[in-house]
Amino acid sequence: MHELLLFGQVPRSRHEQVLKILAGVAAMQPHRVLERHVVYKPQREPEEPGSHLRRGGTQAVTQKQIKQVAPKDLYFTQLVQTLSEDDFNQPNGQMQENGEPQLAGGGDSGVEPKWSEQFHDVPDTSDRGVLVRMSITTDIMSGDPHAYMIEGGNQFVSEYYQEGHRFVHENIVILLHRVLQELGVRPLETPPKPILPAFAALQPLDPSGGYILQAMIRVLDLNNPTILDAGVEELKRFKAQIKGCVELDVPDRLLLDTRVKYKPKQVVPPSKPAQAGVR
Amino acid sequence: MSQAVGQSAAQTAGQTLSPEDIKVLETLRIRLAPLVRNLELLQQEVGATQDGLPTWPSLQKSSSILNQTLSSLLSVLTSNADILTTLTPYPTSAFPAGQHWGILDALLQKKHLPDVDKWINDRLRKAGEFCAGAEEFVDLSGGKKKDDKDEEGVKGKEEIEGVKRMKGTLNEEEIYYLWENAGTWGVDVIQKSLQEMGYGKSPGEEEGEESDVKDEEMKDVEGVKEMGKKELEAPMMPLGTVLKFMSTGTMP
Repeated sequence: MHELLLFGQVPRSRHEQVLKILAGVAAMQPHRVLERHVVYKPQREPEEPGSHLRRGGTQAVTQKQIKQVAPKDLYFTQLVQTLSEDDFNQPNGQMQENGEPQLAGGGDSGVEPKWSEQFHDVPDTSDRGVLVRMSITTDIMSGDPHAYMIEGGNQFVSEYYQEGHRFVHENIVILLHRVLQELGVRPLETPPKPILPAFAALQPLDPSGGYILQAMIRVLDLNNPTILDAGVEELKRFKAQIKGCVELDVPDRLLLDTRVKYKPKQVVPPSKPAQAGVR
Repeated sequence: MSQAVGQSAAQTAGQTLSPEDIKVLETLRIRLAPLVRNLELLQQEVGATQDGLPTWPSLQKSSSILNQTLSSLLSVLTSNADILTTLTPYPTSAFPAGQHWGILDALLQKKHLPDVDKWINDRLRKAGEFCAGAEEFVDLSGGKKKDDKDEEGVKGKEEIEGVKRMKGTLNEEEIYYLWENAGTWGVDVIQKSLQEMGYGKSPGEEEGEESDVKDEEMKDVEGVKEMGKKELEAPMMPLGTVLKFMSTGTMP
């Protein structure tokens, strides 16, 4: 599955207005979206870029070029929990009857899965006027998603909440959202919190409280140029349509880079082992 | 012009002057020297640049230096006005008038040269657009308008009569007020936005000061200020930062 994306920004003061305009454009009521994103990265540290290349001089005069295989990139992955406002409003201790924390998967009741694993590739380098990236979403039907991620060789990085509204206009999924996070020091503890904080205690990441407008078209197969072009066209049409209300644009693709960056190892004082990787 | 005249009087007729007079004239000479030097520098600079004007920063620098020298000159002039107004130049018999008639001519001249007159008139006309005449300067200013012309408050009435006064929108006080407070307002706005971002403390004091002055200009300015505040109210986090956070879970 591939995503064609455009982004724009909406100041907080204009949020209401843009919400109404979008409702008019899409001819639907905004659909409330509340999500909890838990970010993971592989436990293994990325290798130093270029470490696979032969370093230093060689005395061999002519040597056949050995094919050098670059180390595989490591990527951030996310667990996404679909929430509703009711989830937040439950008084402390969001425990289910059997005492298991809510973090456990949505259960087997056949309703929409609460958790899903999301992977976004780095947007590709093509210049189509929209951002194109591969995206894989796997719904987790049952079990403990966090344990699953840890078993898969990942470690917890941080979590944030995404709050906003979703519209669907023709083939475009429009998401007007902003990022919320808990106040205070970003938790470095390994498991994500099993208990949801109070919704009011969440603070927008952007201190001005601005929103982000994301327009997305999902394309199953990039190899079909007609479909791809139609999607790009539609997205550009939408961009032109909403021009003057929200300026949609293509951000630098590396801003959506999900690769884990190599950080030179720092000497960790012996008193605090195993912290360097989390940072 | 009179100080130049006085200066020559000090050199040529030192014996008839009291030590105090000489001291005042010497101070004047010391103040005039940097003025001349700075003007020469500016002239060189203007001459050196091909396409007319030097760069703005260097212009700004030289004009502020000139302004400083002029105002220190003015303070000397006004504080020693009693002595300076009583001094008059005249050539002594020892002066080689035959060789240096040009200097003599310039020193003894009582009226300005036509082009100097034109400068003065131009400047005064410009100043008349927004300045109210400062009465106490009018009497003193007899011969030294040339130097006073850059000071806003100074204006000879008789010079003004032949000049058409134009109505400006701001008067001197308003302009002064505007410039005095422009910095504060700027800081105010910045502080506000910083505060919203969670840094710094509340500005506070400026509010009272502003509300003291009530004229129309003030309202306008305040209107502009309000608008500015609204626009600056939400300095949004760059989209890139948010996107980066969303994809990696940490702040870049």
